[in-house]
Amino acid sequence: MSPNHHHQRQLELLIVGAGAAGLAAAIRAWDHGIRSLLVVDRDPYPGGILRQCIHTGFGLEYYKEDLTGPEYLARLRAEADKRRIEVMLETTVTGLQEGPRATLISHRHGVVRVDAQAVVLATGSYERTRENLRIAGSRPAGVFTAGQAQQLINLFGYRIGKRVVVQGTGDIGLIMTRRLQLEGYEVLAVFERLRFVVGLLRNKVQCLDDFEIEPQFEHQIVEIHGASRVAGVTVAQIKGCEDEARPVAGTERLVACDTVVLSAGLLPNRELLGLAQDEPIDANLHSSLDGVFVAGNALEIHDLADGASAQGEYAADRAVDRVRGIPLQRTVESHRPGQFRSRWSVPARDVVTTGVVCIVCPRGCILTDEDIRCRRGAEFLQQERRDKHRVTTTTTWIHMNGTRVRVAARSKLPQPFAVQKQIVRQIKHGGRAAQQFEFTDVGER
Amino acid sequence: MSAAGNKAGDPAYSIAIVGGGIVGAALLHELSRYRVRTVLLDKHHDVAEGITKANSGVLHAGFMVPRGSLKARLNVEGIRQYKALARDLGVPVQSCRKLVIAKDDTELPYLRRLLDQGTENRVPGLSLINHRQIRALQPAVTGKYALLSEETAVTLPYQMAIAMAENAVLNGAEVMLNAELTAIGRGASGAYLLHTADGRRVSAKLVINAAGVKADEVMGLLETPAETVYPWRGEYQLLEEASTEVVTMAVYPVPPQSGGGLGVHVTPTVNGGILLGPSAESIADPEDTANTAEVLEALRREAFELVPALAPFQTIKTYSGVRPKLFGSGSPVRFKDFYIRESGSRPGVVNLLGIESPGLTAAPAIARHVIEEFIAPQCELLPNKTWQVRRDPIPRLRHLPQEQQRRLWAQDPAYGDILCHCEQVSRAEVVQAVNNPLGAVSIHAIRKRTHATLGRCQSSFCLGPLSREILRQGYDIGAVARGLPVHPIFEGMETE
Repeated sequence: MSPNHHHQRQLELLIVGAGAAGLAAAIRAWDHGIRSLLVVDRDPYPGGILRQCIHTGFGLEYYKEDLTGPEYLARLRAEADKRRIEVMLETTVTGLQEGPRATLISHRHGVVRVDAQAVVLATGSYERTRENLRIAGSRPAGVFTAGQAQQLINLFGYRIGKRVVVQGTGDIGLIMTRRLQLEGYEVLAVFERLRFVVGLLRNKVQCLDDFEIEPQFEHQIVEIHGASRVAGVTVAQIKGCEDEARPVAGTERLVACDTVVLSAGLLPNRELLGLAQDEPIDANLHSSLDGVFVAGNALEIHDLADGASAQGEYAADRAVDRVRGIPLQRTVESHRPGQFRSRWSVPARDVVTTGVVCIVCPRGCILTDEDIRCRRGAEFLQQERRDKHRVTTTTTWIHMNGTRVRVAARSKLPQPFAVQKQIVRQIKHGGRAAQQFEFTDVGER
Repeated sequence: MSAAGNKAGDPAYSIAIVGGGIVGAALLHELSRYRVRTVLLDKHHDVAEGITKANSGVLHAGFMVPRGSLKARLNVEGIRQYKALARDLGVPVQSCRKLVIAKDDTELPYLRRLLDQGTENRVPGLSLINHRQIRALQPAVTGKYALLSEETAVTLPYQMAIAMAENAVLNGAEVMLNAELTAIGRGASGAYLLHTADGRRVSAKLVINAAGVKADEVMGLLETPAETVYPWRGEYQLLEEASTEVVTMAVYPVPPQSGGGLGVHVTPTVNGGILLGPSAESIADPEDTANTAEVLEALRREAFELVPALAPFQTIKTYSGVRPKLFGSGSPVRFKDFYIRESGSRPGVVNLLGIESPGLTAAPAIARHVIEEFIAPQCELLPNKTWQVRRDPIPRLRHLPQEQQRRLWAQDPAYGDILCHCEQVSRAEVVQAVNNPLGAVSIHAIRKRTHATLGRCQSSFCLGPLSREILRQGYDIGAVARGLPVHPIFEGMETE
């Protein structure tokens, strides 16, 4: 190989991002016969946000099974590995230009220029920060976005505080409300600026109802206090929507805490499109940069990873046509948001709960003695009435061949709800409970 | 007493500088050119932690200050010295130019006054222009007339302070961090004994008080302060990087008559993204750098009057800095010059009070001024013959052409490992920042040196990887936490 080989590559298809959308796109493109194919990802391990999403609820659509994020990822990886799809890790795309031409940088290969016939951007999303919520006050340590807290706790094993206030009831906020409690943090309150729980019904049941947490609706943190570490927050009632939302005078009150977790929603990350990032994406998922397709959360925020994967496949189909020289069906239509939403995706706000919400799958059936829709539902209702059981998940370090490996742990069977915290502690200390758990690598060492 | 103290091991210095802002750092750097034992004390975990890291970053040409004042002389001298020093030390200065906008004819006389004042101060490159010329230069800017200044530039003040302090240390000067001054005593030999909150003591013949918003308090450790330093908070917000396309010059209004400041302006930043602010609010606590909902809203409103096309851009970061002014909100608005004097009753103590705008621009000239007026007469200043620029600036990978990126990577493959994705900061840059000559280890110290965490995600992706890097450099999780004293990001590690 000439040194030049490292500086320049010609590809049929470049996929940016090895998460739920990117890996699915790669597998699909390979199955269409594309072999000159490269997936790049900036992290040291594929999977994107799937790595840190250690809870269940993944794969019901795509794999017809209830998996954790790391398990869903393991399936995708196995498919990609079977096909010998090249995944270049710890590689950052620093620029994307007409062509399409991408500039990559990595410690292994340095700066590499890639000319591809098509590119699929599957670069995920950003979390909205305190600035997006216009939260005033000081800027002490201890303010985290929910996904950031999830990464720090699940992947890195850092303890981020003790007494936590959560803002927002989107799915990540709900998942983290449960996660924090299982990890021994105290969740003092959950605030939501809308009138309903924003996330999925199944998450509301398992993350709030199970823990008897009633979110305070139409409330928002308006000010953060504390010089070096968070000392508390001022919360107020909120009227109006989005940018028009304003606190109602006289409703402010102080909540003492040392940690704030913000779950304020996600914003697609299409930064690589530069000035074109705000231009419409058409029904072929094609951006205004010729040859560049967008899929997954980079295009629109999906509430289940399955939808991101399905969209990745769709984008791959179109990208493959482009590589083959098959003209794309001309369209002036913009892509249809929500097209890949799963039937499993039931938002909490659509449901008035009068019975027991079944959480066996995300469909969220409401079970009563008169209305039981499947065998698993019947079993669930019986168990729920006798003694609430939940699938328990956590993360821990294990040692494999002298290397410290971060793994997600998931109980093989639902565990008694009342002892979940003890079980989680046992897992971290290598206790006997480990025998009832399955472990999946999440890629931190 | 002092001799006894020294025997007990108190390090003895010729000069102690209190405060590691831009002025203290400039003085330390300038003094490192001489064979004189100098120490700088700062109460924070790093230098540049006060208003030096929270201002507009503008190098002023010198037409806003009246002729004959210390401010005018040190500003006009300072901007040239700053630019030269920045070049030597590898600190970015971006020549952006400036427009002071008159909305209508009633504001025109003010621009004429500024032009006259600038001419008196011998500021080059000033001209009055009309709305057509404004539009030709900056299509997005509104206004009927403008004063155009060619010399005005923007810089990264905290990086300048860091560069000066680090280069001084590499040339033999010393920096003591986390050193909050609690008392100043006097030894028998006449030297001053400086006591810190954590029980350290140093002795010094001369004490230079460059403590910014706290300078009157520091002076108060020895005598009744000559002036009260009034804290005036200025809030800012930074718009997302794409806003950079809209306007390339610093755009100022005619200042408000309240006298609090230069008015809410629109400033390009070296790092990308447009800065809005500052407000000017007299506050009680000099360390209260909070932001308020009302002001943040007002900043956007006022800034968008000058440049309406900025309105769609998102704010990615808000912050505020506190100016040390020599008048409060109640006192009559009048020009107050820098107070730079040796104490009458405490010889050898030089107090610098009210070093607000144009203090950043003037800092190198203030340092020269203090040395010539107060230090040289009392202290033999022999040249440090081995002095040189010893500090290699941390390369900013993102802004280098590909060929240079390849060369850096060939030297150290860690340049290929991007840890902060928004700002594209590599592990090689982060490692250099962690191992800085001041020994300042924290996420904030990395941020100021590399710009990691300053982008759109505001650290939500990179806090973990950056913290891990600090651990890999041999520090424990406590270092991430203790870096900012009592600024613990993490409680610790989970049990393995």
